[in-house]
Amino acid sequence: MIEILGLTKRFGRIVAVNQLSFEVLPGRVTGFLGPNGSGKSTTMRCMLGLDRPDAGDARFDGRQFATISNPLFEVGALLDAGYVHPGRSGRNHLRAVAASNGIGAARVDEVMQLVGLGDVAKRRVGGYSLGMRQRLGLAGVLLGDPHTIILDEPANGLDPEGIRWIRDVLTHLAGQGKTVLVSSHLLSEMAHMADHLVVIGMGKLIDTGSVDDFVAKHAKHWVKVRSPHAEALAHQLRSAGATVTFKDATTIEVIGATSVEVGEMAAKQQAVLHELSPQQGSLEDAFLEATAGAQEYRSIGSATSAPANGGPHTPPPTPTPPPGSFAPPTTGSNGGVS
Amino acid sequence: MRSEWIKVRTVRVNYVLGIIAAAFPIVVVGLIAALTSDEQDVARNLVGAVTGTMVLTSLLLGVVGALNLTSEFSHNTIRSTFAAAPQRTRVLLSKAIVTLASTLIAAAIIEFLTYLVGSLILSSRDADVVLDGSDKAALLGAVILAGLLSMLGFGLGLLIRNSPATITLLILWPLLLESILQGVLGAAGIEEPAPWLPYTSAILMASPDLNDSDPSRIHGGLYLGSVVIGLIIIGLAVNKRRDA
Repeated sequence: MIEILGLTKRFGRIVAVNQLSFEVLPGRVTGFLGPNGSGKSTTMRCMLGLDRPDAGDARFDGRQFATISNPLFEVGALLDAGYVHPGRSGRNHLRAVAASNGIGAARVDEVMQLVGLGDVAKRRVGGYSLGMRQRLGLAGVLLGDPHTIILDEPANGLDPEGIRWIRDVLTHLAGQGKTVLVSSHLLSEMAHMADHLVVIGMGKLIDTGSVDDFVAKHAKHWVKVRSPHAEALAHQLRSAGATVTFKDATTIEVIGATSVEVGEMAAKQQAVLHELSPQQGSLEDAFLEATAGAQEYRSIGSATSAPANGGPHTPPPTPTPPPGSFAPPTTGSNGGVS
Repeated sequence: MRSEWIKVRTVRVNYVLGIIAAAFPIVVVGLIAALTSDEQDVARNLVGAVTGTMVLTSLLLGVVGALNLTSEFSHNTIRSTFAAAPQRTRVLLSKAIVTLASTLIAAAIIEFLTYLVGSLILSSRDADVVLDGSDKAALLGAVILAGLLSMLGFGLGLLIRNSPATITLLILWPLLLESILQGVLGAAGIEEPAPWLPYTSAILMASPDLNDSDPSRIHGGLYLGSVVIGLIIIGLAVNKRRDA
């Protein structure tokens, strides 16, 4: 179990982490989410004693990290796949890390095979791709078979097979009763992987809870109706105070009324329904909604996918970058948030 | 300690610098011994030639000592290191001990080979190579000087954390800073500034022929050693508090 108690970290005038408190319980994958610059990585570095917090504490089963004599057996951490000397082979990098905790070369070879780097173990890390470095970092995490695992953006640079592999590994480890804290900006991946979420913004806790509860709380809900009598039904719903948006001549989206209420209203009007389905936004929608006021870096024209006027599926307007510049996208190819 | 030893052994730049550090005195002394027209004079002063060239070797080994630490910061591997072994002072002291031990062993081997090459060549030219007590002290002093310079590099690295800046300061210290200080002390009326300058006094450890006005070898070693220990203590204290 990990306990974060009132953690505060300042860099000069900037408060990177502000009185942050949360718990990470064993037996489940806890996703650690927040926009860029929200303090996720700083929090993780403070947890491991790499950055010195100005206030507060992080405890692993009641102990500070610095007091653990052989941490690889208790806490495995991958904060950045780039924390390797490019001139050293992957195997030698792991041998050095392992030796600091009395772990032998045989275990190094075992984890290198486990992460699929057995064939390139003796190649210099400078020649590894980002995905290979991530796998090397994961091998380091697994060296001592620890009961607590902390990973910062572990899916960065991994191919789809690698992403699925890491998801399977983490859910398997959580299934064994281990404590798993993982940050990722790949929200679609997090939706598959995490059981629980800790969401922060500008260094402060925004929300914590199960993924389902978080989505239910923050994502928009609406009812999709397809009917040849959509016009009349929409009129009736608006009269009842609901917000109705036409998607096409026979399809409307309703906010402010449940599917039961819409169905009963349609029955009273003897309106034929071809579809009546409650809809809910994704984890990405919920995340953007929850962190809307806590994004330090925002793209021009970025917006949460609020369906109020443009409908639930209306994408945020694409910013037009000035000539010679690049405006970062608001959503990534994997549903990620920039 | 074993972890740090693996790190030292598994980076190519350490071997490259080690080969350069070894090649310089061996080649220079070998050429002097082979090409001199006065082989008897060179034979009498062979230790002076060996320890004189070893000074550059010591500086290069000092660079290795600095790089062993600063490369951890420049590649951020210090974070992997501290995440695996969070007791920072213990980790850094282990690194210092491994660096010092490997430098002393390397310096002793290089010096032995240099002396061996020089004496074999001179012997083949019928010159008599003699090793007296002062020569032996100078040979020992050159090895200790290499160890102290590697720790000087390590101590500077602990404070600066940046490879180019640390190496620059390590090289400028003897070549420039102490020359300037020597001038300043001279202008201040100090006739013999050497005892006040850590590197200048320590380099006398490697000299087989000391003048009466020179500080003793022990003085030089202790003075530079004190400066190095001071730097390392401050560096350890600073690194205990700073973010990795």
